[in-house]
Amino acid sequence: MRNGLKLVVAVIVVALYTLIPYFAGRPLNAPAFFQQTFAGVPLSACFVGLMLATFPIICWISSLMATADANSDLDRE
Amino acid sequence: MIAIFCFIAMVVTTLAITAWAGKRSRQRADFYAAGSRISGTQNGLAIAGDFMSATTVLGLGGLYFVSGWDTAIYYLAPLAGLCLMLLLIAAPLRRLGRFTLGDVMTSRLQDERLRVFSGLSTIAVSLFYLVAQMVGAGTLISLLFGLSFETAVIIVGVLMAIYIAVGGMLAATWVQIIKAVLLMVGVGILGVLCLTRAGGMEGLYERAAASGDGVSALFQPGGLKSSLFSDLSLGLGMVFGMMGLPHLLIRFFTVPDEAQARRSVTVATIVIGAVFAVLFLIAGPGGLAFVRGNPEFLGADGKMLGGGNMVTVHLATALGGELLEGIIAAVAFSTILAVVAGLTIAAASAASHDLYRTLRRKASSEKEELWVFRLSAVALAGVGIGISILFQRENIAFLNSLAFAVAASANFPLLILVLYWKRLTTAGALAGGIFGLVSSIALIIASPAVWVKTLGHATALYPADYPTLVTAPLAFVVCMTVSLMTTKSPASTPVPAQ
Repeated sequence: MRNGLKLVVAVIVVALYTLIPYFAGRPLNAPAFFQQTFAGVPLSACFVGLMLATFPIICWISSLMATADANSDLDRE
Repeated sequence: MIAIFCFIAMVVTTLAITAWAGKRSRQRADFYAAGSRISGTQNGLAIAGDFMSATTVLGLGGLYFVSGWDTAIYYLAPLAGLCLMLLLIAAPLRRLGRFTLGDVMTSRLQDERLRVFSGLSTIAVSLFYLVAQMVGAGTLISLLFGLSFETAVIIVGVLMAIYIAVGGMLAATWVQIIKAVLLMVGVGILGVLCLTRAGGMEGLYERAAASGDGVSALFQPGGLKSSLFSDLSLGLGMVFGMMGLPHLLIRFFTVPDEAQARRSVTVATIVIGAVFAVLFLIAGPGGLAFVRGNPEFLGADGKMLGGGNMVTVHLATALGGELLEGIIAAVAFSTILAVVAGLTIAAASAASHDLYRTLRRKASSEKEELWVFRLSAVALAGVGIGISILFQRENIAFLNSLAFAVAASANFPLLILVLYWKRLTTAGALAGGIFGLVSSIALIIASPAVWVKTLGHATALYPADYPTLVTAPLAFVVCMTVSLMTTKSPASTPVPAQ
């Protein structure tokens, strides 16, 4: 897999995981999002929980990409 | 009493591990990289143990208590760092390096000046981080066990010197694995007790929201009162800093191959993600629900006993009495020991392998280098104890920022360009590295945290506390511009690490 694709994935993940915590609410001026609850838990907390819970999946996909990359390197050699 | 018993048990266990590791560590490769015989799963646990410091366990609990939802950035950004580490760094680092970051830096650009810079940068980052950890450790241990600050810091310093000088990387690895397991168990017990006592998630959040005036505002954004620039700079500092922290990066040299290096990051991500999820979603609101306003944890002045960093320990007392308080105290203590052990090994190996070998300018025997390594570990402990005692009453939070900022602005750009940009030259690497190092230190000094709060000036010269958003991209630009302007070194073809 080309380094460019890895870089794109890296930039998307960094943008998601550094910008979303800030943007979820402030610029949209959407306090309703933070006042709503899901089964008694604020949606904001559910949202972060979802990000934390799905991260191993992102990591697993990244691992597959890195492994495919290593294998193609070996093929070239 | 239980806390003291747990403390002694932890010290005895870790010293026994050190004695065991000392018998198995004979050669340089054993001391620097545990003979590269650590499995991916073990290394993943050790990386988690190395990364999650007392700041993570106790500091973030305190921060949630006053800033609420906005602390999410502290939990999410490191995960992005781990993903980048997996995608971009883990496997090439294992392939090119052997003992230190200097090995990787000089794998393509065979210039000893680069190795010296890498060694100095590693020692600087590790020392900033070490002092911050030791001052935190001194305060925490003196509060938990009633010891004086000086005694607490000396205990930590002596223990870390023994671990590294006697047991090397093998001892540090197992101390970190034990810490990671204890942390998962301790945080897991806290989470279960929080939910049981509050009657589930709904009850927990209702109780948290009802615990004091304006608490529900903590579940809305704005608690940190930071600007987008500051927030983004903090996030990038954590992401890039993780990929430039030498004590984390050298862990990839302890596994046998690249596949195990990748597995390490996956395991570390699962462990760190799980602990963070419980801390943020359950223990954070649990602190509000069970500690806030509880007279048991308030001093005569109405403030929390021991300060905000004790929220997690007070939560343990509220939920599980003296027994759980002792367990969490032992977890906190093991956390400190594991992180300082990792920092010491990174700095000591840079001193002996990168600096001593290069600056001595003649071949040194493996035995001689190992003695320099051991002496460096002892010297670092001494310096760490001295600076920590000197700065015990100062606001040293900026030292943590400094470590992350230097790692993100000096080490990270160099590492990425060495691995991925073929036109990098020695002059470009040195110029970018030195620029990143100097500019990040200068902007931290000019920031509100140091210029206003520590030095007492009216206004800051630089508006944000975290400089990475400016310094890391500029370091890349300097590296690339100087490289394009200078002739590529003739000896810049890939070579195996020595």
